Amino acid sequence: MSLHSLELWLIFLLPWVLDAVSGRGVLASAFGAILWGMALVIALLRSGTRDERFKRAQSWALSFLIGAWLTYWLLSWAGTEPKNWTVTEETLRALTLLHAGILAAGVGMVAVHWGAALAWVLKESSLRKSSWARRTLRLERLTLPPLESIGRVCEGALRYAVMSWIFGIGLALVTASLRWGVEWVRDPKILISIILAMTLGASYKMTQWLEGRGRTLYTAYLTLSGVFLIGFSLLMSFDVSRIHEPLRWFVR
Amino acid sequence: MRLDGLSCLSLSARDGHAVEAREGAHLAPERIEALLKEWRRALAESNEADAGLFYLGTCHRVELYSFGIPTESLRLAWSRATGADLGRATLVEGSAVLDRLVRVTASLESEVLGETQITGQMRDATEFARKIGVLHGPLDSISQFALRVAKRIRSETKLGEGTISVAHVAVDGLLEVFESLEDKSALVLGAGSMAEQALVRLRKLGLSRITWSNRSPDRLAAHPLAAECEIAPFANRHAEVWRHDIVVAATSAESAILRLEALRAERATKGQGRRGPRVILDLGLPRNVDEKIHGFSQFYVRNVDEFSTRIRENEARRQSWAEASDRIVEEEVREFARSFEVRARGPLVGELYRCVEALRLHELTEKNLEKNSEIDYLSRTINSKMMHLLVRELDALDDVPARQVLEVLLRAWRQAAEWQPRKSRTPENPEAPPPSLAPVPREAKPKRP
Repeated sequence: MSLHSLELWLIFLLPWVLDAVSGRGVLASAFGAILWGMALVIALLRSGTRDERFKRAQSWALSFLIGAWLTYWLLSWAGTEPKNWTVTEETLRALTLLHAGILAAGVGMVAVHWGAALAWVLKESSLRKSSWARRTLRLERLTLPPLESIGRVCEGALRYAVMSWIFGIGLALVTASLRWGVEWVRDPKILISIILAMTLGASYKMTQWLEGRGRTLYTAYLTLSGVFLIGFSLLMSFDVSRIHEPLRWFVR
Repeated sequence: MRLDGLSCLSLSARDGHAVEAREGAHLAPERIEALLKEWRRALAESNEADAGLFYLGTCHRVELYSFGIPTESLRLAWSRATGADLGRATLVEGSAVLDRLVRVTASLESEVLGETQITGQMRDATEFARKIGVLHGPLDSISQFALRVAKRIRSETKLGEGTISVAHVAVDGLLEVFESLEDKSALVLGAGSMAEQALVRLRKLGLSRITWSNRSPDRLAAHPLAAECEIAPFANRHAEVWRHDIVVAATSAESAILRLEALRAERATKGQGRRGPRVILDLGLPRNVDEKIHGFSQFYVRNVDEFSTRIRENEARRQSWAEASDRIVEEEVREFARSFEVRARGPLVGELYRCVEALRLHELTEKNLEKNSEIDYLSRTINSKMMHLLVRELDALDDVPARQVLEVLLRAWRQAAEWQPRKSRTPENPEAPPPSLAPVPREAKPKRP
């Protein structure tokens, strides 16, 4: 097993092991799972980058995210009891933890995708300036990675986010069916989540519609993933659920 | 053997010698060989075993470095070989030549600060002179020292960082769009030096799929780089643009050779080909590319305006390393000059050893003690220790006082060495040979009997 794949497995599994053993529920909180999702998608995409400076920057970002997650996990011990699960049945509890963690991790991946789309648009607008403008305005000083590298991260992060949300929504539906039967169909929170997943799917589908139309494609990415992130934030803050437990940003 | 024997006759752009003057004094390779061979004969006839010379000719300087050869005779020979008037050539002599040679080799005296070509040219020039047989001894050591210092400057500073060739800067700028050029393809239009430099740079950055096109294809056919490229007819250039990620336009055309309408028409008939961004580097002046192409269907057109800013920035970055390089040169030259002078005192020290040994042998012979091994050992040890202390003290002195002390001691002991053997020839034995004057190695420790 190479060092890279070992690192990937550690990032993928260790948070779950730590969370399961300690029972703190860090991955059941949106913040903890978003950090994990961002770290995972950066670790997955880093090996594909051929620009050394960008690769180094990704390594730094990855170290920062891992450090932040571990710090958050340690802080979750301070002065609180382990998460008080309302679900007592083991399988249901595991499914709840998994779907919450995977969906929120997908949001972290969309955040990376949104950041990369923004960087692409900025870089492209700098490149679109004429040589004379770049000479006089010193726009070339905008030290963003190569357009191609940013594009690769942008598309890769979206691909993993879509996979994560498809899997997460599937798990969520199984969990909801086991817990509430068909009642979940009338729950607005679950339905909004499905709409958000469709937004993400539409965004992914655009890669085929707008392939080669660089600027249009990335502006659309930026808009749609922005809508997705805002939608997710609203979902976290509105208490419009009939049966779903309240969503939480943080462990406490 | 001292640095005083060094001299350099130079015509360089930095010293204000115009290109006409430099061209006039420039020696073609076959003339360099003839001139150096002529000098080899002259040096063989003279008794100057250490004398040597070499010729350095670049686009910004023509120079003749020498050691132990009268400058005027060099100037005359050079003038005769080229027909140029070298009366206004700059003459540098003594230890200043050492400093100059190092600075020239390290590219600190170049028109383009930090360029690497000069170090290679210096290496070629010295190797050529060595092959002919006119570069040896001190000048050879000095030339090798200069190359060593240049290497140190390259490794310890960033003097050569950031290219300052327009074609190189332009090609390097592609990495702003593409993360690697290895899987990309390029179309190069033109066969001039700018196109050639861009092509070489593209290959250096890992790009292997290159199509080359020129208005007169004969120029490409004869070119050595053409074997590594696909050659395309110039008339098909607009169709070729759609097949490639990168286009380098470097022709001397009076008007644009790539036009938006033609690109549109090609796309309408043959399709867009591959997806993704395309970069066109316009290295021509007048511009080779219609400016309306910039921004059309992910085409980014870059021209010389932008590259010149980068070149100036790279130059400024190199300039910031010049001070550190100067310090290295200063430190190395000072150390080399000191060790050179110490080495130059070597023959004098050797002679001093021989005199002292001659005196010792004479005293032993005169007193019939030469067969007494213990006394022989004792006297050797005393001499050796005294000489060791003396040489150590001499090494700590500056060159001039050290030489003065050595010369005084030699004067005294030479007289003693010459006088003693004569004194030892008694009337009974008038043919008695003088004691051996064979040198005694400094490090050789006498064996205890």
